Amino acid sequence: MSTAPPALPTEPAPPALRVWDWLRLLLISVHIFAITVPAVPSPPSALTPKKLQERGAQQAIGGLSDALGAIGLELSEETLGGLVMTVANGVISAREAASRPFAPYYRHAGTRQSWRMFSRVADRPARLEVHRADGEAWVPLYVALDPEHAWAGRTLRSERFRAMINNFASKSGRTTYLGLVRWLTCRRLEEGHAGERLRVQLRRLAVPSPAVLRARGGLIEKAPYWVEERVVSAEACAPPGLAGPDEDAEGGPPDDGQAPPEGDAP
Amino acid sequence: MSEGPLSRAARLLGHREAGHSLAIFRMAVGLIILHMLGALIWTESLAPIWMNPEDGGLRDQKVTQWLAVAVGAPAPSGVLALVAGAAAGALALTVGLGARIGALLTLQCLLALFSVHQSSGGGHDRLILNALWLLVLASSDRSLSLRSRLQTGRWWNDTPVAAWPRWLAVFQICLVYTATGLQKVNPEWFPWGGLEAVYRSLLLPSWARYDLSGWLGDIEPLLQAATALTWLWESSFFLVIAALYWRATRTRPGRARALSNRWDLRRAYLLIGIAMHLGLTALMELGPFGLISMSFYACMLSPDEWSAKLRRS
Repeated sequence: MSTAPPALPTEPAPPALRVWDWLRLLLISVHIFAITVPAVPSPPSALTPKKLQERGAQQAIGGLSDALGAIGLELSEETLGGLVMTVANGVISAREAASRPFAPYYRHAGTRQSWRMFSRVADRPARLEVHRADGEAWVPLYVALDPEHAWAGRTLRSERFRAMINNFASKSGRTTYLGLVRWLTCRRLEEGHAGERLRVQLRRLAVPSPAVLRARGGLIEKAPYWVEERVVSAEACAPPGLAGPDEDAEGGPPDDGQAPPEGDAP
Repeated sequence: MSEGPLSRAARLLGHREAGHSLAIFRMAVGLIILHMLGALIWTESLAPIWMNPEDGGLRDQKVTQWLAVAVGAPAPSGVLALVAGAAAGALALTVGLGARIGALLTLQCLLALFSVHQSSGGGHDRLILNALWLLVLASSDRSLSLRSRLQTGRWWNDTPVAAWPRWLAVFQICLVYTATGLQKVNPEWFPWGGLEAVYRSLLLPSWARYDLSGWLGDIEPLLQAATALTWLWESSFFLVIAALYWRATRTRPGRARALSNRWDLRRAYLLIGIAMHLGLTALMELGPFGLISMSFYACMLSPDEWSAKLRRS
């Protein structure tokens, strides 16, 4: 009669999973899905045939076409452009649909973000300038990045002011800009400069190629825009009283057709 | 019978470890928020940004967020209440006493504050909110905290806490870098656009700390290399998750695993990140973005690694 072999020692079975273990897995999975969906790469807004004709888009498609050609995938820039537009717009639609149910979660936990930062770096930025009149001449009080002219610089150069001023480079945020002009006027009034003429403007700049910058030694200065003059007085400093219209509705398109340098930090 | 992947995942999320990494993350986040709020006061930008014109603000603010409405923002008392609440919570985080409540308080106060004037913020605001949400979920004040000192008489405390909030912090920062890298598709980031992105960024008056136009053109090759490195580093940052996984399973076979563990791929990514953020902070005014990003790095080192480092020093 044969005898059964002795039983091998076995590892103790892990404890059974509880409801909480499964619930935690579900909640963490939902969180990961919710924060990943808005970060799926895509253009900031839907692509149109007109947008595809912009210089930056043409360059990107040209570069992509060359790269694909190098690995044997020959596609004309027109075909590739159409393909890019279809895919990008599809991604945008799918992303919006997938993230819609999470809107309350994003609102209360602050977890929605695309992390699109410095994806497009402008070559035509703008610089804030503040001048006061001295007879017929304008004397600079504040010029961004100029240590010689840094009136109110502690505030104007703070990071949150920079974020606002950065929007002005694309001519968006006009209501806030006019508020800034009024605020600067008030500040001059508080410092005892009643009756002074003040001018606030944005100076369009062009960033040349490194070779040109080496030769020039500086950026190319273009014409100013949003030039606002005020006489420093209690009237000019008075609050407007009514909320301005929506910023986006007021901000015109960039004068050079370019997106602004994005407000987010890299 | 072996478990399926879902059961293993559910069991893995029950893993507990000492809370040193989360504690360092908590202290860093608290200090960064206190610094950010201090900077708002130092730069005199509190009133112009968040209040109405009659109180020194730039423009009338439309307030819809529930807490902002409840405290009466953008009236000065409301704005100051939000700042005070955020500061109190950040202080609780820094010292490690009531950290979950402190994180929740700061999170809600900052959500309210940021909602009042949305165009004055940046990516760092959202990353700070993410960090705070993770600290609401984490038991981050078990070690290196006043709580530990009061309860055990020691600052250093090896009491295990749930590890998954630390893992989520790692996932969060990997998502940030990878997503921002993959969204950089414009020509200035690539050879066909001259790799000019870093060059142009350093010349933007909105963000540059100094006027570098006098000599920036002289170091074009260096800036092109920095552009390429930035894009590659950001876009491939998800590899840190793989590196951490390979590190945790180092006894298993595989060439990629062996290579990653031999060179410690994770450390290479962290060192590049620290160098990049310090360089950017020196040359550009980007607010607390670099600091809050680097605070997440604390979670990429395990509690044992922190323990070894701090006890050695």
